[in-house]
Amino acid sequence: METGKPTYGSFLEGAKALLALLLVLALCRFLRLDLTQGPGGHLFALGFLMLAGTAGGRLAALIGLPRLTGYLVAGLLSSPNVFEVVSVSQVHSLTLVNNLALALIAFQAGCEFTNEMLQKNLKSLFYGTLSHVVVMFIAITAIVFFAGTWFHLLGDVQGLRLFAFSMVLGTLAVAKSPAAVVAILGETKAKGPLSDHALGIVVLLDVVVLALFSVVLVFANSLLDPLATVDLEKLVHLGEELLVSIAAGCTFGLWTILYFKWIRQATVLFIVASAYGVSAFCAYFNYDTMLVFVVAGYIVTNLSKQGKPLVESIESLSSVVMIVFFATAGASLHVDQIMAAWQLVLLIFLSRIAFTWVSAQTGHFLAKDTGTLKTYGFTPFISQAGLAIGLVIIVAQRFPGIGGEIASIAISIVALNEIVGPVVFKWGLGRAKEVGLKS
Amino acid sequence: MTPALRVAILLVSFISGLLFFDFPIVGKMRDFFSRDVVSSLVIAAATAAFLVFLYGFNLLDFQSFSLWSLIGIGLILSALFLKDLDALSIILVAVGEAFLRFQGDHGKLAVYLASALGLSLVLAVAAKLLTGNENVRSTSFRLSLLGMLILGTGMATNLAVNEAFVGFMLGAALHLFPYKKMEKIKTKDLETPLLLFIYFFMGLHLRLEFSALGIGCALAFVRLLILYFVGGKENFCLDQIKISRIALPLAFSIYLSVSQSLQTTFYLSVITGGVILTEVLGLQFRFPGRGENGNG
Repeated sequence: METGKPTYGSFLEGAKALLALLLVLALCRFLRLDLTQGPGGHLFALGFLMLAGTAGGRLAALIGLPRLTGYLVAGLLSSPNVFEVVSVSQVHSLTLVNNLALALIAFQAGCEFTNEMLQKNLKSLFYGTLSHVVVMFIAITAIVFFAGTWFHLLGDVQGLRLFAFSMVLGTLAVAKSPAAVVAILGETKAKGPLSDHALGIVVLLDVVVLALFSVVLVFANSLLDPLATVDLEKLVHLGEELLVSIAAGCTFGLWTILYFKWIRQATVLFIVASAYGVSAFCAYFNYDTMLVFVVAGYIVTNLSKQGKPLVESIESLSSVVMIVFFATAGASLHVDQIMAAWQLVLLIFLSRIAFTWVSAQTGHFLAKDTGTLKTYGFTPFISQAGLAIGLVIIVAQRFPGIGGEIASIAISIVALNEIVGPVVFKWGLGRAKEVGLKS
Repeated sequence: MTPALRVAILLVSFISGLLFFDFPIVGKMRDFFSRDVVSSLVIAAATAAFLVFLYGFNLLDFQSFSLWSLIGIGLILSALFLKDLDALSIILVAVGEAFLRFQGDHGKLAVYLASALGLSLVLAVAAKLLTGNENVRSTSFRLSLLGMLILGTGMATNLAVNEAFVGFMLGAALHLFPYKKMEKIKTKDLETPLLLFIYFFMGLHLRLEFSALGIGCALAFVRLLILYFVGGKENFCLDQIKISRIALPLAFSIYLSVSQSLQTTFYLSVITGGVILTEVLGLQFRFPGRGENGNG
């Protein structure tokens, strides 16, 4: 792992930051001030997670871990499951920041997609995406199905129900985390084949996973409900939504170009307003928000000279937003659920890491990739975050009963991947010698 | 938007706190006894007297109106009509609000002031520990400071302490620490957008009472007359017409912190009326002057 040697002074600063947080909590205790509720509770939670995230990020960086891991752990420690500094309702109220964070991440990711980069990596991106979808989906579906059949890890869930269950978990295993990849790339200022490959595949997979998820849901529904039929119209509808999302992204991208070219004032305000406005628009019309922003970023970078000022404006905002986003994600992790079905969770978690490596190697073999990309090409794809959690929520809502079981297992796996993934990716970037190469 | 407005009010007051100790303390003392300040204090006293006059004619129609309420309202309104004395305005508003709320219970008043002071000091110590020796322009420094201000707003809200008061004392405390680097923050750059944000979203909350608007205008007019008699010179009067830029945020902080009752709507309306009139008068007095100079 590429780490600077931590100095005594640096650790002292980290300790001081922790002391400051303890001082605030001690004051609350002294004044008997309950800040998990009341009109100021949400502001307290936001401020506390920002400070805890900043302190956690600094401590994580000192021991060579990604700052992101520090944000997550700080959020986890503040969560209702551990020290109860913030309550469940406060964590939910902060998800307002998530819309902004996801929009910024997608916008920035889109800006990184230059035509030159796509032409250079097209083969690698295509085979990489294909292998991650096919290998991971088949492998995890098979593992869960056989584990359920032979070892009865899922109790009385057997037969077709078990197969439906396995397919859904297989799909969820394919989902990656564009947020974690963009955050780590931003933190390490990495540039090179591994960085381009990681960014390209996570964004492509984001779209492909949505399509795969819709297909699997249709089939799983027909397996779980004997009266249900395979409704292919839903798939056509999905295709339409994706196409319209691309069109909306183009329109928004052109609008952004015009704004940056002619007005170019209060750009941060423009980005915040656009992030919330476009996200609300996408939610209303069922468009893929991530795709809309990625396409918009791509249009801005490739059809104008406004990509650089746009990225600079996004970066000036993202430091605050990322801390709150990942600290809130950490506070939302349910560590207690990991223990409930730990054998299956551990099996899928370890299998997913192993098959991430197999998928990456298959993709590199087909694309004839060489060098550090081939060796460390699997490292960006362990992380999971927002997309996987979003899909889990849909599963829980769509299949009452069994959906809840799937959700608790899937959330536990996402929690583990969310903590381990960024560490592995930062290590991979360090080994591939891409850290700090971005100007 | 209320939480965001609270944070903005705390930030504006925080900046006032930071700027309060900008000058050498001797210069500050001299400044404190200058004609501007004396005239402002005379205006404050006159404002309170004007309120008593209105009260005598039953023009102030409050529920449970008492002597303590009168003192509180007098302090608040006189503070809001001060010019360029943000520190004094904030302190008077906080004390006036406490008088209103505790109705002469000195024990509670002391606890209120002590908890606001304690909260500010603890937050200042925590901010100092968190930011350490970091560069004032670093992202980490800004994040820590912003986080601390948001957290402070949340704590002040739940403690039912005026966030403007906490923000001011936090700024002053941070400045008093061996912490001169805080001066390097471009406070003015931050202040203008914050004030615009507050003014804009305040508009959504305003439920103006016309009688209160009238009282505000009358107060502003009385203030102008006093200015003329105290100051003597026309230039001095013109210079003093506009009231402090933080008057509206402060009025809004009272509206937010004391439950949004009839009384708080009254303050907001009075000060809005006063601000509108002083702004209009300020414009009217300036136009002829510019014409005389031939600048159009």
